[in-house]
Amino acid sequence: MVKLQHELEDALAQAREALASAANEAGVEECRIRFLGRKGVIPFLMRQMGALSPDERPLMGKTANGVKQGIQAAIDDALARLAGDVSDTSEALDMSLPGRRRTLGHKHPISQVMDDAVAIFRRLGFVVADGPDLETEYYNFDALNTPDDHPSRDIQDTFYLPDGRLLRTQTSPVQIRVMENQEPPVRIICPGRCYRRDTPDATHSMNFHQIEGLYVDKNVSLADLKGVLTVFAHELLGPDVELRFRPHFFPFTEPSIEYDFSCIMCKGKGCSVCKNSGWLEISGAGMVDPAVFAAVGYDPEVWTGFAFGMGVERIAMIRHAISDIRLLYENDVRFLAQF
Amino acid sequence: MKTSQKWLSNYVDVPWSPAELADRLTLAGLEVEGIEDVGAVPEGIVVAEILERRPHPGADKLSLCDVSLGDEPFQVVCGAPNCDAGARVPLAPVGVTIGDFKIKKAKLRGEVSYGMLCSERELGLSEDHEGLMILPDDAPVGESLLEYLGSDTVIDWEVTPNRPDWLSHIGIAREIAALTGKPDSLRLPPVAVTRTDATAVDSVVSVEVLDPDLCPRYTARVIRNVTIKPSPQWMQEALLAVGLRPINNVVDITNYVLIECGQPLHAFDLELLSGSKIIVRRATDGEKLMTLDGEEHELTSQNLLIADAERGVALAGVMGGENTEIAETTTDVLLESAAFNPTNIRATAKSLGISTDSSYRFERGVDIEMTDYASQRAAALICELADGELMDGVIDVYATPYEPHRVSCRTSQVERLLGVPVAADAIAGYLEALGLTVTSKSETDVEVSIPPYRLDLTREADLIEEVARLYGLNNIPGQPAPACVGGPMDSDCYYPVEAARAQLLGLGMDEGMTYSLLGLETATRGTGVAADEVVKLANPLSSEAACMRPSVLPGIIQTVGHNIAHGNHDLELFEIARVVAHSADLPEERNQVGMVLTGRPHSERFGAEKQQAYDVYDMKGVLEGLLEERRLVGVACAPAEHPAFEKGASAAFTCEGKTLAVFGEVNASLTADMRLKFPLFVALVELDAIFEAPSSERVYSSLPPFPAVDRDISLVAGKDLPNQQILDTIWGQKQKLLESVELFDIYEDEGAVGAGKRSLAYTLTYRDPKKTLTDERVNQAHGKIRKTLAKQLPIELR
Repeated sequence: MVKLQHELEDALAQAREALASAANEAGVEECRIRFLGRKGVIPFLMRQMGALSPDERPLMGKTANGVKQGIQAAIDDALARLAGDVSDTSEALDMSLPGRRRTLGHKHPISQVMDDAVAIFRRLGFVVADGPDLETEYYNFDALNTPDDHPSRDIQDTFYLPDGRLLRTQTSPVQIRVMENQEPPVRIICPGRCYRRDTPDATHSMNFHQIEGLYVDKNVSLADLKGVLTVFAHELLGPDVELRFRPHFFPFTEPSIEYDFSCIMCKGKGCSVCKNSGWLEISGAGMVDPAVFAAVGYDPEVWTGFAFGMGVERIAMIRHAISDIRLLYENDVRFLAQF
Repeated sequence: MKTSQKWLSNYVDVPWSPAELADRLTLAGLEVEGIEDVGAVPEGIVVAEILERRPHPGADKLSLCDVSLGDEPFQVVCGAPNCDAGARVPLAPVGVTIGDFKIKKAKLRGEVSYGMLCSERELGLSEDHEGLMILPDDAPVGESLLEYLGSDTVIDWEVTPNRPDWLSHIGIAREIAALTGKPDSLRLPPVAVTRTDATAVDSVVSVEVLDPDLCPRYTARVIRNVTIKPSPQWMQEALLAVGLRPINNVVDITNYVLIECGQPLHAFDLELLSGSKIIVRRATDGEKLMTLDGEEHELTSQNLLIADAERGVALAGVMGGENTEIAETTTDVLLESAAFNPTNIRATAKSLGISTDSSYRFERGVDIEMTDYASQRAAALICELADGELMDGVIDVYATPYEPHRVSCRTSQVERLLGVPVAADAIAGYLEALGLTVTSKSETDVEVSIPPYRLDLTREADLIEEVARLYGLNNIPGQPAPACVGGPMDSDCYYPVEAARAQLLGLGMDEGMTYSLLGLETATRGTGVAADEVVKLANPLSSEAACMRPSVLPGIIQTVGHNIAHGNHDLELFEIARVVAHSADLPEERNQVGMVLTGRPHSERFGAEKQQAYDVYDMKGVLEGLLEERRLVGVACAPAEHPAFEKGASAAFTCEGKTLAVFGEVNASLTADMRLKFPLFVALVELDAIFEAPSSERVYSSLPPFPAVDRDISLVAGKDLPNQQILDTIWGQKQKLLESVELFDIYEDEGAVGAGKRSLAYTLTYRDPKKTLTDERVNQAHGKIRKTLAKQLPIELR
C-alpha cells in the first residue's frame, strides 16, 4: 500500500515537472494523456487499488483523488502560463500599414481669406452684410457718386443685363443698401463676388471676390482707418507687416487713399513679387464722400466714416505665392489639397 | 503720362534722384508705372578718332584702323563698312564690359585688335547696326561718351482722372515745387518773339464759335513764311523720350508744347483753309471728315467740328483733318489753341473709337487760362525753329473768362477727418504751396480761391484731401478703433454659410469655386432650368460666358471633368455658390451647394477595401449628416426624377413641400466626354431652404434607466417593396414600447427566397421608460406588429 502511495506521489511530481516545462498547448495535452488519459499513469495506478483491502481503499482513494486534482491544477497552471505568453510568441501588428483616414476637407484659399478677414473684423465689432450680385446702376454707381460718363460705367468694363441692371463691379453697393436701412453707427463688412468685363489672364478674371468695409460714427477719422487696417494686416499676414497709405482718387471717398502692405516675401527689401518696391498694393479706401452721405440721408456734419475694399484673390495669391488667378477656379484636387 | 528728367529740370530744380522723385510723388498720389533710363551708354566707352583705315590682309570684310584717343595711336580691327579715316566713333577699350561681353586684346585673323568700335545697337542706343555710330566732328576725343552724350530718365506716371493738371511737365513740376515747399521756384519758359509780321492777325483770318458751350475758348495765331523741316535734335530727343514720333518742326512743336503745358494745339496750313476762316460748330448728321490718320469718319450733330468756310477741317479736340495738314509746302500756319467741353470730347472719342493725346487731355479738362500762354509758347518756338514770322495779335474767342471760385475749410473738420490737429497756418501753407491763393484766414477757418488748373477742388473735403497729401498720409498715426459690440449674430448673414462650409469640410470634402458666367448651353444642361429662365448678359465677352449660372451643377460637372482628365479619380468636393435664375417660385438669387462623390473613400488602404468605391448611399449619408446637424423637423426622402441623374437612381430630401436637396448618380449624358473610372454621384442642396426650414429645439430628455429588449423580424417581400414602406407600417401602429427599428440584413437569392423577391431582417428594440419589461409584454407588442405587417403588406413572415 505504501508502495502504491509513493508511486502516486512520484507521478504527481513528474507531472508537475513536465507541465512546468511544457512549451506549448500540445505539450500540456501530451502530459494530460500521459498521466490522466485512459491508459495513463494515474488510471493505471488506480486500477491496482482493487488489490487492496477494503480498509485501505478509502484512504488510497483519497490520495489518488488529491494527486489527480494536483495534476489537473498543474495542467491549468501550464495552460494559463501559456495563454499569458501570447505577446511573446504570436506575431506583432504591422503598425506601418496605412491608417483608415478620416481627414477634414480643404478649405478653398479664397474662403480662407474671406473667413479669416470676417473673423478679424468681427473682433473689431464689424457685422457681415450682404447684397445681390445683380445690382442696379443706382446702387453700383449713382449713389456712390460716380459721374454719369465715368469710364467704369462703360459697356466695355461692366456687364449689363437686358433690363438695365448690371453685375455689381464692386461690393460697395452693399454700403448704400445698409446705410439706407440703418441709422448710424454702422460697422459692416461685405464679402462677396463681383464682376468686371476683363479678358481672363493670369491676373484677371471675369468674376472675383472683394471684401468691403464701412465704419460710420461720430468722429471717425483716417487715423481710425489706419488703426483698423493695421490690425487686419497684422492678424492676417503677421505682426511684421507694415501699412502704407498713398493718396488716390475714388468718386465715393474724399480723401481717397490706396493702401499697401510691406512685401511679405522679401520683408520690404524688394523682390519680384513686389516688383522691387518693397510694397504690395492691396486696395483702395478713404473717408466716405459727403455726396454718398447725402444719397443715403446721413448728415455729414454729424457723421464721418471710412470705407475700404480689398481683393480677396489678390490676397490669397500673395499669401500662398500663387501666380495665376485661373488656378483658383480650376479646382484641381491636387491644388486644393495644398491649402 | 511720361516725363523726362532732363525736360522737367527746365521748369524746376529737382533735388532728388529719379528713384527718390518717384517715391516722393508716389506718396503724393502720383503712382509710378515704370522708370526707364534712356540714352545711357555703358561706362568706359570713349570718343575715338580713326586716323587711318587699311584693308585686313586676311579678310575682305574686315579693316585695320589706326585709332587715337589723343596720344599714341593703336590698331583696332573693325568689320563695319563706315570706319573711314577722320570719323569720330565710340570705342570700347580693352577691359571694358558691354552687356555680358568683356573686351580683351585679341587677334582677329592674325591681326591684333586693342578694343572694339561700336554701333548704336552695341551701345544700347537704338536698333541701328548698319555701321559704327558716327559722332559729330567736334566730339571730344579721349573723353567719356557717357559724359558727352549725357543720359535721361523717363518716368511713366499713372495719373488719376481727377488730376488732369498732372498731364504735363509743367503740372508735375508744379507738384514738385509744392512738395519742396518752394512754389515760387517754378519757372515757365519765355514766350517773347523776335521775328514778327506787323499785319494784324484779325485782318487775315476770322474765327466764329457757334457753340460756346462746347468750346468755351478758341484762340488763333498766324505764323507766316515758315520753313518746314525736321525739328532740332534736342526736340526730337525730348519727344522720343516720352514716346512721340518726330514728324516735322511745326507738328513737333505742337506736340512738344502739349507735353510741356498740357494744352493740346493744332496747326493748320492756312492756305488750305477756305475763306481763311475758322468756324467752330456741330457737325451735320452724316457729314464726313478724313482725319490725319487716313480714316474717314461719318459724324453726327453730337460731334464738334472745326470747319472753314466750306467743310470740316478738324475733329475738335480729337484729331486734325487730312485736308489742311501741315506739309513740306506749307508756308503759313494757323495755330489753334482752344478749350473744349470734356463730356462732349469724351463722347466723340468714344463713339468714333479714337483716343489721342489731345482727346485724353480734353476729356479730363484742360486749364482754360493756359490756352493763350501755350499758343504764345508754340508761336515763339515756330518763329525760332521754323524761321516763321508771327502776325500781330491773337484772335481769342473767350466769352466767359474764368472766375476763380472760393472754398473754405475748417480746422475742426480737418481734425475730424484726418484724426490729427492741423493749425490754420499750416493748412494755409500747404494750400498756398499748391498754388491756391488764401483769401481769408482765421484760427478756425481758411478760405482759398481755386486756380483754373485745379477744378477738382470744389468742396471742403477736397481741400482736406490736399492737406492730408502735403501733411503726409503716413504721418497720420494709426489708432485702434474704439471697442464696440457688433450687431446681433442673427443679423450677420455669414454665420450660416460658414457653418455649412465647416460641416462639409468636416465630412472630409474639399471646397471648390467655379465661374459664375457660362455659355447658355452649358449653363442649362442637366439643370432642368429652361433657357428663358436664365439671366443673360446684354454685353458678354464671349458666348462661353454669356449668362449667369442658374445652378451649381454645370460648374461642378466641369470641375469633375478637369480632375478626371488629369487623372484625379477619387473626388470628394463641394461648392457653395450663389445661383441666379428667373423662376416662378424661387428668389432670383439663392445659395446652392453642389457636392460630388466619386472614386474610392479609402484609396490609401489596400486589398478589397482599397477597391471599394462610393455608392449612392454614401451621398445620401452625407446629406443625412448635413440635415441631422440642423435638427430639421418633417424631413422626408423619396425617389425623385431630375434631369441631372440616371432614372431610378435619384431621390430628393423635402421638408414641408420644399426641396432641400436632390441627389443621385449623374446622368451618363453629362459625363459622356469623361473617362470616369467610377460612378459619379452629385447632390444639389438648397442652402437657403435648409436654413429656413423649421428645426426642433434641443431639449434634454432623460436617459432610460431600464434595459431594452430586442426582437427580430425577418420577412420576404417583392423587391419593389421599399424599406421605407415596411418601416412606416411598423411605426404606423404606434406601439408605445417600440423604441427603434433597424434594418440589419437584406438577402436576395432566387433559390432561397424566390424570383423577384428579397428577404429583409429588422431588429425592433422595445423599452418601457418606467419599469423593466417582461417577456409577456414584449411578445404582445411584437406579435401585434408581426400580425399587422402580414396583414397590410404583401409579405411573408419568416
